[in-house]
Amino acid sequence: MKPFIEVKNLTKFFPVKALFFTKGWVRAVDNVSFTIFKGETFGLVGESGCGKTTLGRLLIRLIEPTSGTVYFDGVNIYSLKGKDLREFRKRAQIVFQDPYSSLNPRMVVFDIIAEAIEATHAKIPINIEDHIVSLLEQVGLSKEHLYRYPHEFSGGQRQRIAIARALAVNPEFIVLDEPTSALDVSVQAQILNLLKDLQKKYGFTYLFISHDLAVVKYMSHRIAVMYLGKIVELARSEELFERPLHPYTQILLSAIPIPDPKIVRTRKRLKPKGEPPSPINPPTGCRFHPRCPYAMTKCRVSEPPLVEIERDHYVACWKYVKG
Amino acid sequence: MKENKVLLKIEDLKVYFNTYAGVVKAVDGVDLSIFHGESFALVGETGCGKSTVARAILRLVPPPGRIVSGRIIFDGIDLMKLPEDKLREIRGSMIAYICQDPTSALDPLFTCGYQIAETIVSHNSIKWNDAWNKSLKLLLHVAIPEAKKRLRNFPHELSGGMKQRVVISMSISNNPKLLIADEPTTALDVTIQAQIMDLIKSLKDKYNMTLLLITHNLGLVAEYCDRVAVMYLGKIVEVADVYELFERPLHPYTQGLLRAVPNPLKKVERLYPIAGMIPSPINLPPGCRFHPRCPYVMDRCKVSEPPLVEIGQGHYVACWKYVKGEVHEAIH
Repeated sequence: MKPFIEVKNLTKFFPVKALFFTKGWVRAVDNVSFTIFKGETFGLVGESGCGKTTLGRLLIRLIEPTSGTVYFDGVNIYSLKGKDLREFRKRAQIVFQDPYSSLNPRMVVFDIIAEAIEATHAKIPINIEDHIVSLLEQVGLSKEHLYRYPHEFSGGQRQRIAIARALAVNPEFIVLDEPTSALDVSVQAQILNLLKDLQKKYGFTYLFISHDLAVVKYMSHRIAVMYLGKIVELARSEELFERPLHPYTQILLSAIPIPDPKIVRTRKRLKPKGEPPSPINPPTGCRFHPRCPYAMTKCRVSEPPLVEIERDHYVACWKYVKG
Repeated sequence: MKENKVLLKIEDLKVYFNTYAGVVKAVDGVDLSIFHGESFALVGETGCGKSTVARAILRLVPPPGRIVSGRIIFDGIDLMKLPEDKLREIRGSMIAYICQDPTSALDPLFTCGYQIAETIVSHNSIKWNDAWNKSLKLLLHVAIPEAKKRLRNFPHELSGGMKQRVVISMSISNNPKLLIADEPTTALDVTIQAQIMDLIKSLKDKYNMTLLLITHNLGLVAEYCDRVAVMYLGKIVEVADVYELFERPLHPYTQGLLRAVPNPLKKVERLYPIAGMIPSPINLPPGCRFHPRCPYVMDRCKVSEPPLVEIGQGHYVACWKYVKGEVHEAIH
């Protein structure tokens, strides 16, 4: 399969400023490479501060990288300008985490969605109102919601509006940045099913970012696990859950709450040592080594590369590297 | 381990909030019994009133909320009738409270050691130095790395997980009988969540406490609790033993909740969300509050409210589906 999105050595550092000097750099995304195929859902999991949101924003060029490239359908998105960049903006969209801050409180639903169409210079349909109503119907809202303000909606409904706005310009790739973490479980299931249905209907490619492993598994075909700016493991989603290789993935999986008392009380829990270190001065060598139960001397010194251990199963850990 | 002696009994608790838009009946007639030494979970979604119940136990409902009616008997003491100064002696000593956000639970202007020692001094006749030494011991109990250094740290110097450990050490400082943990891990990452929950469980066993866990996370309930009550819009809809609840959920809302959560160990093709959304707590639906979203709704559900009745041993449910005709007559 031809890769749809190809990420190569992508790096993003944020400066930490003290008065006028740069005190250090937060290595939010550090030399990350992977590919996303057309029509798949690529899951990205990790704990807070691991750089997953930064990576999502880099992929649709909401922020500029420190170095590295992203090829979108064969074109380097960071070299795009003017009309070509606007064209790209139509093809790649995002749904943000918090539907309470991603919708302008002074605009009605009609304006929120119409603005997205105008901003990308997309061809404005002759009857824009009908077009927007059809978008709303696709996300489970209706005509009566057209001239209401965001505050009149519940969290789940707001997220539906945000999804309709992303759909408005007929995108091919959508970054879903924790789209359900602000919602209750019963509503979360509605939104997840909606996203799945839309993908089936239009063949969208998703980057699904979440800290909730159960949700990522439900949504994704392949999953990448991030730790302190690095991808530590990448595999098909069933494979990752059945045979996690990286110690961090194993720890993460053994910590997920499972809604079944019989299973959850008999499972073995792996415990990490300590707490996540600061991303400003990440540990040398493998970044996970201070918390890793299997740390070797090699891990303290040199950084393990992300290598393919088995077909489509990548892991960055010295445990699996021979010689 | 489970003695069937009631430690906390809540009877017909009603907490209303008078807002400009109308009266919000956050808790509307809740009955609960929590036994000595057990871990009891109160589960529900946002706005169902689970935190309000926890606060009402300590009479800490913030205005404009007020406790309209109800009795709360803790260890034989009626907390509702207690004067404020006597209640202060119970708060933080006999009943401790861990809240959701450790950052707002700690005072940013004082060191962690000061805040722990303060809790000890205010409930015991003890010298400040002794209290300070005791707070070091407490920090060691909650497994904070470099505990001695942490005593002189301000809250902003600690990570979220460590702050929650400090809050927990404060809560156990006076050997409470009842520990109320209100979403203690919602603000934390999964691996830290597991550490904190394990800590709470081990302290509970060590100090012989009773735990009331307020949460929306069914996974935590399955792992750490003995009995569960499910709340929906200010009412308890189901109470059962944890194994019983997950194996044989009776109330349609509980069934819906369990089907809506993805289980990471199973291959799930499709989730079954609960239809519709949570109605506004100001205009509550008549009859059973769940009837507009219920797949099994009957005529009776729209008119009259189902009582919480015992169906199996220790398994209570408030649903007309399980009530035979004669009880129905008796209610009217």
